[in-house]
Amino acid sequence: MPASQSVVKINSIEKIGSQHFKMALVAPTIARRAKPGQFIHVRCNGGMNPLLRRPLSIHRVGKNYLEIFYKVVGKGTKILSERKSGEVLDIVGPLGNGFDLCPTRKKHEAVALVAGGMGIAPLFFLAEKIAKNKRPKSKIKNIAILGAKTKKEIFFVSQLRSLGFKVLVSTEDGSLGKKGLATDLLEKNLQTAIYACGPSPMLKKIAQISGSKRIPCQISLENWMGCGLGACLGCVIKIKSFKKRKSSSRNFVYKRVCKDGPVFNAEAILWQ
Amino acid sequence: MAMKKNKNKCLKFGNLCGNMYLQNPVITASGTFSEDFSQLIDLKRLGAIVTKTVTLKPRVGNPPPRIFETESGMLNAIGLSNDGINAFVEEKLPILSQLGIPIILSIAGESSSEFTKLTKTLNGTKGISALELNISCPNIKRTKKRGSKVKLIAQDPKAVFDTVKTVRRLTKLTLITKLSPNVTDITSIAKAAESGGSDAISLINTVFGMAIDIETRKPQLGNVIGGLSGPAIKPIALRMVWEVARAVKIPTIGVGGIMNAQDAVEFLIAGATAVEVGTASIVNPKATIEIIDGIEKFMKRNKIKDIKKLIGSLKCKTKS
Repeated sequence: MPASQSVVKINSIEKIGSQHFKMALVAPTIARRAKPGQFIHVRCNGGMNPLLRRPLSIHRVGKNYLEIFYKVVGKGTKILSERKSGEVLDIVGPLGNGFDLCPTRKKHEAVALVAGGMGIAPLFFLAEKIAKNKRPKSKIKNIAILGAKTKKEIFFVSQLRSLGFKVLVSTEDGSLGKKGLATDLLEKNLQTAIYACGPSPMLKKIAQISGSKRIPCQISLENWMGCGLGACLGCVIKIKSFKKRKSSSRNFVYKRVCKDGPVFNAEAILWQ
Repeated sequence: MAMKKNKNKCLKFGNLCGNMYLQNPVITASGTFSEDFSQLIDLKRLGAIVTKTVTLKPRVGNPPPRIFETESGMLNAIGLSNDGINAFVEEKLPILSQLGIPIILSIAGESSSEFTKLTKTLNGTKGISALELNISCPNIKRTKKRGSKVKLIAQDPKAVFDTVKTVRRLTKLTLITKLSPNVTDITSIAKAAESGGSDAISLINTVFGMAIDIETRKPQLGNVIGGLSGPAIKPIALRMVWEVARAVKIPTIGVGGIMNAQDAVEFLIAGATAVEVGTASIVNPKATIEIIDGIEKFMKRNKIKDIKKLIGSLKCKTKS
C-alpha cells in the first residue's frame, strides 16, 4: 500500500513509564493501510532542529487512529514526549515491509515473539494481529518473551496475556521474572517460528539460535534514517550475498532498512 | 495553451542553457530523491529531476553508518552507491523519461577517462535532457594525476577545465557542472568550467564535515568524514552563488540548504537561474511542491510577471 504524508492530530499522550510514552494519532488512512512491523516517519516539531524525521514503529492501530510507543533517548523523542494532545504532527507512512504473518506457510502453529526492551513497540501490533487471526477454539499457545534490564522496562504483560499469549519475562537484575536474558528463555521455549525486535546483541544471538535449529525467524531492525522512502541510501545494513562476482570478494550486499526492511530474515543478516 | 497559462511563472531556460526548458525553477538535487516519491507528490510538477549520481561501473558505497544528524544539518557519506550506468539506463530511465519533465543525469568518475567512457555510453540514449557533472562528491577517491595535491576534481581549475572539455566534445546534451564549496576561490573554478564549455554551473555540493561519539571516541560516520547539507550550509551556498553568478556568463543553479520558498527566492535574487532542493525533500517529501507554489505566490504578491526580473535583482551597494 502506498504511503502518505499527513499532518495529523495528537489524540492523546500518556506517560506509562519513567521515560516511556504512548501517543495516539488520528490517522485513519495510515491506520487502515498499516501492517505489523511497519513504521511512520515523524517530524518531531515544525522547525529545523532536529532536522531529520524519526522512524517509529506502529505500535497499535484502531479504526481511525494509530499508536506509537517510544522511550526518550535523545533530542527527537524528548520533543515528542513534550507534545500535547490537540497539537498536530507531520507524519509519513506506513513505511517499510512489515512482518510476514505466515512464515512457515502453515497457518496455525505456535510462534514465539521475543521483545528486548522497546522491541515490544512493533511486536505488540503483531501480537494483536496474530490473536485476531487465531481460530476461536484453537489450542495453540503462542509465546511472548519480554526481556529488559529491570522490571521498570517491562510493559504490556497483562495485555499480551489477554490476547492469549503465554508471557515469559526475564530481567537482567532479576527484579521481575527470570534473572537473565530473553534469549535464555527462548532457547527453552522454541516454537515453529520466531519474531524478534530489540537490541543488536540480542538479535544476533536469536539469529544464531534460529539458524542452528532451522526455525524461520524474522527480525525487525532500527537504524538512523534519512528519507525513509528508499532514496537516500543512508540506512543500509549488510545482507549476506552468495552471488560472487569475479571482480570482488565481497560476501554481502547493502540493503535499506527503511524500504527493504525493517523486517529481515535473521539468517540473511551479516552480523558485524 | 499550457505554456500561455504558465507564462507568469515560466522560466525559459532554452535560451540560457542548451536546449533545456524548465516549467519552473525547482529541481530535485542529486541523491535525495527517487521515483518512490511519486506516492507522495506529483513528479510532473517539478521543474526537473537530477538523478542519483551514476558511475560507469556499479559502486557498493561506503560502510555504515552513512548519515548523522547535526545541529540543523545532516552529514552523509553514502559513497555514490549505485548500480552503474547500464542498470540505470535499463531500469530507471524508462520510468523517469515518461514524466515529461527534463531528466538531468548526474554522473561521476574517478578520472577524466571514466567521464569519457560514461559519456560515450550515453550516445544515442533517449530520455536524458542534460548531464550534471558531479566532480565534487566528497565521499569518493579520485585517481590523482602526478603533481596534483587536491582530493576533488572540483578543487583544481585545470582538472575542472579538462574534465568539462572532454565531456563537452563528446555530447550535445546540456552540460551542468556541480561545484564544491571546499575551495579557496570558487570563482576561478566556475570560470574554468565555463571555459571548458559548461552550459551552466550548479553549486554547492556538500561541505566537508565530521562528528565524533565521545563515549566510544569513534567517528559517527563509517567513512570518518562526510558532506554536510541542510539549513546549516545555506548562508555558505548563498554567498558562493552570488559570487559565481557575477563571475560567469552562463546560468547558475543554486543548491545548499534550501528548505522553503523564501530560501529559494533568496538564491534567485542572489543570481541563481534555478534552484536544486535536496535535504529538504528528505525532511519534508512535499518540499519541492511547496517551494514551487511559494515562489509563485511571492511573484504574484510582488507583481513580478517574469522570473528574469527576480533573478540577480539583489540591491547592493558593495563593489560590483
